Amino acid sequence: MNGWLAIELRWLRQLLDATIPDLPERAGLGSVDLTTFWPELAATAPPLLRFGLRASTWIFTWLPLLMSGYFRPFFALSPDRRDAFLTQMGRTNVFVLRQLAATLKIIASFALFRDPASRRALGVVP
Amino acid sequence: MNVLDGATITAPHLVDCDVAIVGSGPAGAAAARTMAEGGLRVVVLEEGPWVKPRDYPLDGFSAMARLYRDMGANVALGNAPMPVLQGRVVGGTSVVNGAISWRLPEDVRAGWVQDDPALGETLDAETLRQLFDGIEADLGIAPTTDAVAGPKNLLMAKGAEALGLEHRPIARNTRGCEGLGRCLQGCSAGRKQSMDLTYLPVACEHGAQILSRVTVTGVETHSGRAIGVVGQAAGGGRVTVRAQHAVVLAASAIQTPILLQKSGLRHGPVGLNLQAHPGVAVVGQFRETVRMWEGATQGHEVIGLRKEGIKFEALGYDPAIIAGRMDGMGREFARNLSQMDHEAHWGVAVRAHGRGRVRVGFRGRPMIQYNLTSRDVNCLRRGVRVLGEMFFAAGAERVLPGAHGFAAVVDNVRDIVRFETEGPTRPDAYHGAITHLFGTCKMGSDPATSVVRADFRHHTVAGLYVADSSVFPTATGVNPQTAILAFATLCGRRVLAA
Repeated sequence: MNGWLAIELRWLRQLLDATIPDLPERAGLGSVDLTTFWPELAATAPPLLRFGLRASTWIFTWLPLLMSGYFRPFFALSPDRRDAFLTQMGRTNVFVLRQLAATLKIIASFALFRDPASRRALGVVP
Repeated sequence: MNVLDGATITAPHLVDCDVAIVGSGPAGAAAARTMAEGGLRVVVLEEGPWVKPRDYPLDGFSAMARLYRDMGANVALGNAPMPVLQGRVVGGTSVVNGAISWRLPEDVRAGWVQDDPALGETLDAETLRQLFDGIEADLGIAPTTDAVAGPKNLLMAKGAEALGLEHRPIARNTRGCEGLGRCLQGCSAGRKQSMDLTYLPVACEHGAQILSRVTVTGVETHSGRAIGVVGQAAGGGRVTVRAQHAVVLAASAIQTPILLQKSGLRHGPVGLNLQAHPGVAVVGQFRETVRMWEGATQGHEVIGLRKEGIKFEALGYDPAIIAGRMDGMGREFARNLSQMDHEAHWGVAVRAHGRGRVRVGFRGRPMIQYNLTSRDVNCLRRGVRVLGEMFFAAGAERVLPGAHGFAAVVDNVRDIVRFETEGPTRPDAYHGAITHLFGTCKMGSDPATSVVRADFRHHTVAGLYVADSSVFPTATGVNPQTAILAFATLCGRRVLAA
């Protein structure tokens, strides 16, 4: 992603992996190689989407530090707390936060189903 | 086809022609065909690439990245921010739409003429009927057959029938559809009769040239007359097209007013009066497998409430797109993904009363503002309720209304009926999208309230025409591609006669 710091990309990857985590019966996004996904996204995403993705990254990484029940940045949360935090963001009454969570979900879905193995697992050919 | 890729244009490039057309979607293609067949030297400029069907990406993300404007993520801001979906490829949105074909309803046409009788001559009912006959024959428009419909479409028929709602297979511009379910990613089998496979090749057979990957940046005028356009090629060269006869704008209800504004042609309500068909999707979960990415992408519609401004369609997407609409985050979301093959998504589209505007924003990009009215939200509430009832009538076990502030999952008819009166009234509670856009260069007789005349000519600039859906006075309430083709053909005839 053009102009992103390595640490921002790491935070984003943690958020995306937690958006579609591994389940016993199904691999999540964590097992998908996104090496070719990032350049394609960077080349085509419009400014508003890029802004939204970056805002999601920063806000969702640091917001838990200020929230009762978490008091840690996202990267320091356990998998269970990460899951609880993202679920809470997806259902919040604050429209902007809900939209940022939706942005994460859309990008995670794009990345997952760009992967041929993930498509095959769902029975989509190719 | 005679296509020159702008990526190869690295130095200043000058083209002389009779007519320059901006945009290669249904409007640009139909105008190009008409005028090229009439003997004019036509040049069509398209911002997107020329992609052959065999090269269409198979996954949803890559298709949106390559074939859609701004990856399908351009957003109309307002009281319910919604993505605006438009194609950016040779053939325009016809490459990535659901191939749904509707004649302009007579009640809509009559309403336009009643409001402005000067439109009556251009929009003569018999002339339009003949045009629609021709378009339907050209593009193989016919109802979707059961053989390719797939479960999601057949279930909608079952649900609507049980409720006594008028419904029918969608008439689509396809020939030999294989039911691949990939209309919105571009039909890789080449069965959809999109403009890159139909009208544009005919135009090229009659001498037209297409310049792909050229972004038009302005309309050139001299002494009150349009004399051509200028643009930037992907290869870096500046492109100048000198048009001796006319310039025709067919770049959509977003890009056309932006181009006029950038060119300093701000006469009349250019960019105002934006109207649309906002829509939302409701999810039904079935015990049986649906696999909504298979079968005709959009093969069935319910039209019993069209006069109320509400229309229902079965939807079909790639899993990458479906997933974004599914409920939950984290493990709940991942579990829901595992059930994706048991879901059907059906959409309600509204002939909205909301209005918006388009203007030049940051770095010259279009800024779209659009607000739903309370009446529009009530139509959505009614639509979600009816879709929910249809799902249960078709055998769904659960319905996901998809509106923030209402139960995420409903498992009985009684609760979904409550949605019409108890569903959210805040527009931003709905996750919708806008697919059909109108009115930003409205056609009319009064220069104060319209941008082009009844014959598609700009009110103040000679030799400048607008052929796309921005000239429609209002939203149509139905899928507009066939009406756009007819209007652009009429525009082409006017240019020929001028």
